[in-house]
Amino acid sequence: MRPHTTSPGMRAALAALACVVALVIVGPWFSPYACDEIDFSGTWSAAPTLVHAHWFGTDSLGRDLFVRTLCGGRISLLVGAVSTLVSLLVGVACGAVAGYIGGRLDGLLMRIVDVLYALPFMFFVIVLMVLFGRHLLLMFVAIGAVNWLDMARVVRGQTLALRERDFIAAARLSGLSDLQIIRRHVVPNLFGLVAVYAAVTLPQVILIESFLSFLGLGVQAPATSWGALINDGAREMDVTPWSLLFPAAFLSVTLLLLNLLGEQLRARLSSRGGPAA
Amino acid sequence: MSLLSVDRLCIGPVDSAAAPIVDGLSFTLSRGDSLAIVGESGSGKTQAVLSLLGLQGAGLRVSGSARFDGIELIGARDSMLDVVRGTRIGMVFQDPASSLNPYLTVGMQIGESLEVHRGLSRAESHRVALRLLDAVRVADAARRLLQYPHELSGGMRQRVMLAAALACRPELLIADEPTTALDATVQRQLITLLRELQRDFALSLLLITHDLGVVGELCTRTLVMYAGRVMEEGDSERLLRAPTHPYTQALLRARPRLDTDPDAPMFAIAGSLTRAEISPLACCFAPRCEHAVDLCYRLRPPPESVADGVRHCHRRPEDIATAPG
Amino acid sequence: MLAFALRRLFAALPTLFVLLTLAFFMMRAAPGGPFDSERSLPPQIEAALRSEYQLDAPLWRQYLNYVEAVLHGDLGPSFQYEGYRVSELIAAGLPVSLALGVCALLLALLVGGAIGVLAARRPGSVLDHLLMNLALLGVSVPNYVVAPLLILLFAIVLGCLPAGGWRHRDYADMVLPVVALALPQIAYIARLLRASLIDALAMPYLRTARAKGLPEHLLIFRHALRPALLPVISHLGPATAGLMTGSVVVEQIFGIPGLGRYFVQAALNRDYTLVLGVVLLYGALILAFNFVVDLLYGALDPRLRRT
Repeated sequence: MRPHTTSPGMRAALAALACVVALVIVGPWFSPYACDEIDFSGTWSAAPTLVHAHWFGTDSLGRDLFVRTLCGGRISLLVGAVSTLVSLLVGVACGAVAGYIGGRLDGLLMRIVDVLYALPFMFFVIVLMVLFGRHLLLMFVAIGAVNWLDMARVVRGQTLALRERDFIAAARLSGLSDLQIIRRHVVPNLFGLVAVYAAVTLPQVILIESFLSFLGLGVQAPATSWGALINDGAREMDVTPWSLLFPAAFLSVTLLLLNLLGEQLRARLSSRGGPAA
Repeated sequence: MSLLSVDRLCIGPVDSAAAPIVDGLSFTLSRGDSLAIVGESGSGKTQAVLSLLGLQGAGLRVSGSARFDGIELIGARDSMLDVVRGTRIGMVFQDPASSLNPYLTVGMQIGESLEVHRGLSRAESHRVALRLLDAVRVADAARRLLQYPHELSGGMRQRVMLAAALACRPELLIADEPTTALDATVQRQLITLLRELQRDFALSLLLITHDLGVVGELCTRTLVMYAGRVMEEGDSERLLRAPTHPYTQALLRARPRLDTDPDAPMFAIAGSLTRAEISPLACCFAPRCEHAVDLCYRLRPPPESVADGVRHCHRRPEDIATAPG
Repeated sequence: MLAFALRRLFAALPTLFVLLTLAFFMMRAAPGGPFDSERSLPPQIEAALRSEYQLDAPLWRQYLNYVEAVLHGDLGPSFQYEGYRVSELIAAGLPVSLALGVCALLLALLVGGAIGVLAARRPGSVLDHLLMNLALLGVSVPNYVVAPLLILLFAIVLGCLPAGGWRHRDYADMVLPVVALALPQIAYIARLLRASLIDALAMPYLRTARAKGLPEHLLIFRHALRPALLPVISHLGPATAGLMTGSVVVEQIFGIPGLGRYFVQAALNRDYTLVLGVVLLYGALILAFNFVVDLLYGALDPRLRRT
């Protein structure tokens, strides 16, 4: 990959992604229906049509799929963004401290990460969600807690390299404490790397959320998300295939765009001499 | 009769008009003869020989002609090249550590071209490989066959490379700096070995090197390259004794010698090879040449035949016979 | 080699122990218990039940009891399925899940590998671009989207394959679940192998092999594939984990009586022992695969081999 500032592919992916996000946020306002509103005018399981403004059709309860798909998207994207933030905070804190302090603490933290890597994590999340109830908040934490391991490893590696640089030595000489150095000098220099890994984490997190919702362990009715909609749609696909196809298409396209973006960012990072992944 | 004749070989990047890496290389090599191509690193000598077998780096365009026993090699398809690769032309690379496959046994790497080109079975190819290892003076050959490259010393790896290159009894051996990555004592042994193999296998040898010391021992003819262009070509013995090109003179003076005053400063050629400065219309060595005159910066010297070869220089040999000043 | 294997095996034991402990206390820390239901039981019956399943002992006692039982190979009685031991339930579900998972893994390696090789032969060609864009799509479309779509297409529209079920020795039943489970891994492995194969084809020793005039299939399969396989081998551990996760939804969608479906049911019903048993088993399987990965590494790379 050449270190272009932005390649055409990347710009196209960004633009398309912006469209999806804008549609998800703004779209529901343009429909006459609300997210869990049932249209009693005799349009159960209606095919997509312009007549009643059911652009994506309705499900078997007569709810408008256009609105539901976009509302579900709001939840999916929200969970994705917040959980990514959680995993980012935990991962960066852990990685930066381990990498900067080094020694015993580093050994211990990385040993913990190694052990955690070997655990069947999705099953823990499932158990967590079942046992502690399906709060949105818990979902952020549970998913974020699963995904910080990669981030911690990468950040640690980069911090180890940073520690040897002159400006860190200068900061140490000027009498800053370790925590101050980590906050003011190490973390800001990790920014590019962290941004790229956040972009890589985002689709993974959205995938986990929709996985849980698909199993009925994610968001609870009346709220919905793409995973929950796909689950509903899969039940009724022999009668109303559109109830499966629209949410499935939205989820897949969003994930595809995010993966495309993450890949390009990663290629750019490694071509600039950062750690390849 | 010439075995290999290269005519105006040019290699340059596909997507730019930047200075070519090799610019108009021409030479002929007769059957049973040996030619050394000498030049400092970056002079394009490695890419030149790689392109003979279609192995030049990605993104490079090769033009000109190279005929091996009447077969045109430049621009030939892989299926055509495979007729000569490994069977009629063998090749040895600079760094035996990275040029041998670390995942395959020595026996496999020596024998595989026999299996492919001669249709030998695995057992037969191993028997031949055993003889080849003996030929390149590897002791305990039977055990070595089953070992992996990382279990061998550097000199031994290069011997294995030689054995693999000679497996199908090629007529021409191309050796790209075969001794550069090795210790001085091992270098010595390898040069001796190469000379013996040249005789025993009736090889024609194309040797790439930047070590003038090796040249006189192994090759009857020498070609000096600078910045992708030929400076002069001629009989090795004569060229080393009485060079007719300022660059060759400078190279010879820059050699460390035992018979000079050890406290005297080493001679070094002033300046450095900078491709961006090379003009297609001037002598490429002019900016670093002690004898350069106005003409050298304005006109690229045409080939001038001399008794035993060719030289590319505007100054007459007698004018540059002594250092100025 | 044997010493190396034993050492690795020992290193895995603490991880399993951590897994067991973590899972045990997490389950007990959760509100609600296995005998909560819509209809509350009379107190004495519940007490009798609690005592029968040893839920009335102090927590540390329960933990020690459980650890001891596990060390003896007993995963305890199921809370949900009366009269069944967890080991029996696992023995019933595991072969099904294993058949599904192993088939999917083999398919992923074969097809993903083939796609990776095809794409790496001519990097930047039309075929390469086509295959890699498809693979990126494959990575992006999760199992639970692929599975219903496959059913929609092959079972409902075309009607050529069954939409679900798992009848004994009926291989047609296996096709759709295996494909749905394998697709994301096929795509991932294809991308992984393409990248590493392109790297391997640029190694100096490949130039040596080309100079020998070897045909392309030998260049790829004898000289380049081995080093290129190493990242794929390392991915086997995560791939196994991914297949296990995927099997949960795939078994649900196709109505396959495997471990994944048990697991979700058990978690929903707070069947402590069954959930713990399945988590332990999955943990052990992942560790086992990582162990196999180490051994394969040694087998592939002679420099890592020890005598």
